[in-house]
Amino acid sequence: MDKDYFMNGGGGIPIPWSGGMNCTSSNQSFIDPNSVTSHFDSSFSSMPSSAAAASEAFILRELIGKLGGGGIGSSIAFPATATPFSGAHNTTPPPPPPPLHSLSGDPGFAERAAKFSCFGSRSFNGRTAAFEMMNGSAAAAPADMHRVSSSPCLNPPAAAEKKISLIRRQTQVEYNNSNEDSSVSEQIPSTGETVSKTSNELNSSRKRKSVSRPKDRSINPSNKRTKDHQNKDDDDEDEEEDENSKQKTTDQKPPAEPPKDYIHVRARRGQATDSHSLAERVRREKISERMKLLQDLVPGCNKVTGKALMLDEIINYVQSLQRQVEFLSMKLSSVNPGLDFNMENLLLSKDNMVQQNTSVPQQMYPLDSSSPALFHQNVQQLQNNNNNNNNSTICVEPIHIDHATLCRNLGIQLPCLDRFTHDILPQFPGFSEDDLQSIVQMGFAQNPANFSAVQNQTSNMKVER
Amino acid sequence: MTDHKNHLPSTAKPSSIKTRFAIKFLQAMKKLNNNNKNKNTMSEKHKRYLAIRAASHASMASAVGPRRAWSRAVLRKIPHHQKQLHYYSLMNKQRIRRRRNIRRNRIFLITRGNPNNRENYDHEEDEENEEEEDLRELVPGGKEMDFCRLLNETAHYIKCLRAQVQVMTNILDHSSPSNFLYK
Repeated sequence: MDKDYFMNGGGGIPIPWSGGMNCTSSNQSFIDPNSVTSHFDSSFSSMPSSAAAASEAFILRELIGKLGGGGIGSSIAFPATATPFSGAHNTTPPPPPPPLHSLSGDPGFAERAAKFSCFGSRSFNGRTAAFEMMNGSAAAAPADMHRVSSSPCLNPPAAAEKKISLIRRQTQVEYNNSNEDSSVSEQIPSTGETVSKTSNELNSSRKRKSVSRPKDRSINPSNKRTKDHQNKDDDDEDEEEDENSKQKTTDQKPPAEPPKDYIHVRARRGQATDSHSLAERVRREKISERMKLLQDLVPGCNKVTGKALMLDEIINYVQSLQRQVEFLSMKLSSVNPGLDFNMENLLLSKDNMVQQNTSVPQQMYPLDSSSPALFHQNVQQLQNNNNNNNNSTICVEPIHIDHATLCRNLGIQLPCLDRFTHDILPQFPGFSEDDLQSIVQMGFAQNPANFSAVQNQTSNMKVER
Repeated sequence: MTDHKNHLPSTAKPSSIKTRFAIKFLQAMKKLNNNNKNKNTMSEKHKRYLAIRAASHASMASAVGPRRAWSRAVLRKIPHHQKQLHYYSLMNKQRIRRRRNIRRNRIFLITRGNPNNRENYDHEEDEENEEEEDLRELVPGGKEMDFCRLLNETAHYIKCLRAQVQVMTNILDHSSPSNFLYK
């Protein structure tokens, strides 16, 4: 009986709207989804899209009253005011009517409004679904709300959307105890398809799903609750995703565990942001860890903050260490080759001296920044020393100060000596002539007596080149 | 001469990088000195200098072993005749075998960890590229590593360079004071 009234009500509604509707045909058309949708698409699209909220409320009350009373006479109110529920997928969404807020205050009204909005949606299969809900729903009001809110027929224009979203919010709150600040209109049941980010796309996807959904519902009324339940959960997840994706929060996204069916949804959409941002975050953390380690290694890096400056310091330090090695090897090469490298003695004393010498490289490092002028002064000093001593080598200590400067100078002027070394060790950078001469003057010549000879040698080298 | 490797004094730290490096370097120096023609000309000195420098790098790399990317890169650079000069001959075969495997891995690493694959990253990464490139040039084998790996290798390389400097200064100090006796 209710069914008849409902159907009649449905049949009654479109009659004054469009001439193309027949009562008889409409009865059948209510059952047949395709024709219904097609019919009502046209009818709805023909309707003007804007409507006042008060009129909506009036419509709702009227219809509900009529449905309860069993009479359809008051469907007069519909033609002018049923427009907000027109399938506005073909029209632009009407502006949200302000008194909507008042509507949401009354939970009972919300319930009814939800049912009615379901009734007024594009696909009248939604109506049948809503009817089924209404049928079975005396006791299980929250369940109804649940169903209603997740029903596909709630595929309305934006005006009705807001109402529905309000309703849904309430139902969601009471049903799922979710903490989220739910976004306005994105509580759409997803059937596992990708839900796009924009609301327009969401609308269209909703519509798509709304078409397919009623079939499921008609087939499986018993499973509807569980499905809706699932969809609710998934709605939450999707909603969360939607929010996040809309807000593009890449940093603090709470990676809630989605239900298994929907992992692929999350992964697909989140791939642009989630895995990328996560991977980047991991990478950045790794890099910062290692920079901290390097900070400990490189002396004098504690004051420096920031990647670029740290890297500069590290580069300088590595360069200075390499120059030190080169200089030491130079000095070692100048040491009298006749010396016996007694391994055991050296190792013994090396171990004893290790602690002492740890300070030396650090001394030498800050001296790198000393000016080249020092270098030349020391060269002259050493020349004097050489002239004074017949010693084969220079005293070591004063040279330590020069090492840094020499290292720096050598480091700067290193590249060009390839012509001298191409036959010997091609892979190493060469010296410039000036450096060679300075080295010679520094006393790498074993005998001061041969000093001039060495200088002649260098001049000969010049000529040979 | 007996194999000095087996004659470590009791106070020596067993198989730290420093001792390993010191042993190898001193052996290399010995060989160089034995091969020295004693001409004391500039070119000879220069050769000696370069040889000693190469010896220090090579012995450091061999002391580290093929575990580190930078040491592998250094070991690769050494021409074969030099290896014998620097006391590689005994370990050559093992190293060649290891290096063959490592070369295979290296190709894999190049394709995987190539810094050129970082197109997806933001522009922020471009800002530090200059210093990164400098660092890559400094650290041997740094051109084929991604940045994280590069930082790791840099840290180890710095440690080893420091050890190298310390050992060489030690050797120098011990070799030169004997000359002071002749003052």
